[in-house]
Amino acid sequence: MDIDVLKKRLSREKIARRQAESILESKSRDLFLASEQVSKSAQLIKAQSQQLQAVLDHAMAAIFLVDETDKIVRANRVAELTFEMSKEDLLNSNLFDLFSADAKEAARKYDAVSELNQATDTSDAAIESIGLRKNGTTFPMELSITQLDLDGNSFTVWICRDISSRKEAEEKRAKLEQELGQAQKLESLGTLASGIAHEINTPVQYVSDNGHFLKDAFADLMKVLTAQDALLQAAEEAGVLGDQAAEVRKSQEDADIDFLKEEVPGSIDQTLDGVSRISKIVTAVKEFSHPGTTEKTLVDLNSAIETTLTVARNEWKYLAKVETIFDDSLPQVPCLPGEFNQVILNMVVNAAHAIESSREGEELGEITIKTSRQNGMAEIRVSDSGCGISEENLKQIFDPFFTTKGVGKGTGQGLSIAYSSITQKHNGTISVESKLGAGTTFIVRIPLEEAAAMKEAG
Amino acid sequence: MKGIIFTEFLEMVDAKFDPETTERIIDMVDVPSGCAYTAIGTYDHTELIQLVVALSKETKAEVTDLVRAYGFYLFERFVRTYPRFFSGIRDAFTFMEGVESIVHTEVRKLDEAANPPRILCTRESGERLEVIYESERCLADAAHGLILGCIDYYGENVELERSNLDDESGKRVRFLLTRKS
Repeated sequence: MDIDVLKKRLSREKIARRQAESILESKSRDLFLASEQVSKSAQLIKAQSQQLQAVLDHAMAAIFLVDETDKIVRANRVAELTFEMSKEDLLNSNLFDLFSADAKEAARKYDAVSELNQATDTSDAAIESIGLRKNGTTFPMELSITQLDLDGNSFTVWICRDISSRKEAEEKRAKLEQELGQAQKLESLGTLASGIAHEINTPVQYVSDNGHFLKDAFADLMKVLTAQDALLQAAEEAGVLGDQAAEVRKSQEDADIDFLKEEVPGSIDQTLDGVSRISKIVTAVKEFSHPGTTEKTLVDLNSAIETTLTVARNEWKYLAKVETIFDDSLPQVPCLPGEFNQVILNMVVNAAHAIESSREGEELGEITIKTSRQNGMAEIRVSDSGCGISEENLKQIFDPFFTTKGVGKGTGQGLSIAYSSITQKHNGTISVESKLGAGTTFIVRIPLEEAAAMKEAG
Repeated sequence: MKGIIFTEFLEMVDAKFDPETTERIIDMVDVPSGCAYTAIGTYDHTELIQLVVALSKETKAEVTDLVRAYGFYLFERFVRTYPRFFSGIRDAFTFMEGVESIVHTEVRKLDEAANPPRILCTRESGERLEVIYESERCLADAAHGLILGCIDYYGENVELERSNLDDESGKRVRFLLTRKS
């Protein structure tokens, strides 16, 4: 190439270079502006993403985004907590692995129906299912599904709400309703029993009065019969009034007078004893079923316990011997009589059940109720020789609805009610000592300070 | 039209003829750019036509033949300059099917204003490919040369039939490629 060609080329190359530099500068500016725009957009998207994630994470339910192969592609924080799995584990899981074996089929069906409903533009209600945690435990959950189409791909949003607490509350409410129904029934029975006791009391009273009258009358009659006997013997020995004497003697023999003399007093005594027991039971029922007062009254605890034992006799008489060791010097204690009676009744019934569950053969167990005065408190100890309570169960025995008794035998309410009554309404304490296989002692303590004050006031 | 088309054209004249020929045809044309091209610039496509016509006058060769020869040369240059477009592609049909969706998409990424021709490919059978060229620039001959360059690059025995779909302007041309065993 000659020098002129090279000069021309150099000149063109310089122009081309300037063009290229200008283009480069312009492109660099465009790139900078585009980069700035991208950066702003990225920040905006990041902020929106964080907001969205925060909303998702603070939702009160586990939320999953699931692809067409049922693989989880996104999960919120609640999902991790609910299923006790890390995000990494969740994102590698098939959604249906989070259902218990029994619930998988129904969940798949729900998914299919939801897809169909979306196609026909109809809504579908949430369903209940059983979730499976990583550790293998299950829990009830409520499911709802929304189908999505993102960039031409189908996704499903699954919202799973752990409803364990709700279920538990529902069960408790149902149990409470049942308890309330039972309590109302018992209250009605108590009112009825009180009425019947009152009605029985009157005839029992005159049967008792008449019994005593007959006893006294028969004693008088015995004197007449003894005199008659002496007269008859004298007439027979004197040989007078032979026919009349023979007639009297015959009527005595016909009436088996010797037997009557011997048995009638005993019969009357037995009748009076029976009537006395009826009277005692009726009085106990009346006292026990007396409508509860909301104000404390001074109560003779020994007498109240005696009454309760009488009423509950049927619960223990075939299972145990009951021994009472009462401190006769115990002053009257301010109590809600109905509630105190109920506490003692619950403990006696529990003691009987504990004995029943450990009893071998026909041998009777032992229930001992001891009252005493201890450091300004009235103490009642209810001991039994039953099966005892395990250390593990001891922690829970005052919890509502806790029971180890069989279905239909215990509601788990007795000791819970006793605890709340003694500690909250009587400012007392209730504790338990137990040895598995040896027996249990419940110790109730009620303060006496109020007793003195009430005595002074009243 | 992208500057690379101009720079490569002048390179071809240098190579196939000589630098003096190049300078003479540059002297023969009167274009706004003064033929000072940079590959990343954009220039009026009529400047290329003027250069081709000038080369035709200078060499006494047909314009059509020169443009087609340029297309053939350009393909080889593309192979060297943009090897990534050819990576993993083993035959001419497959490459041509990707021109519109891959190559021209990349061109637009570099310059949003770029207006490359439309290349529509239809595989009529395993051995037949229909390629439709559409462009206001009427450079079907360049497309023809590019197709021949492509077939040559892949070393295939392909028969090429060409037919105009509108008039003789070369705005819309059909190429039918049949692979021979």
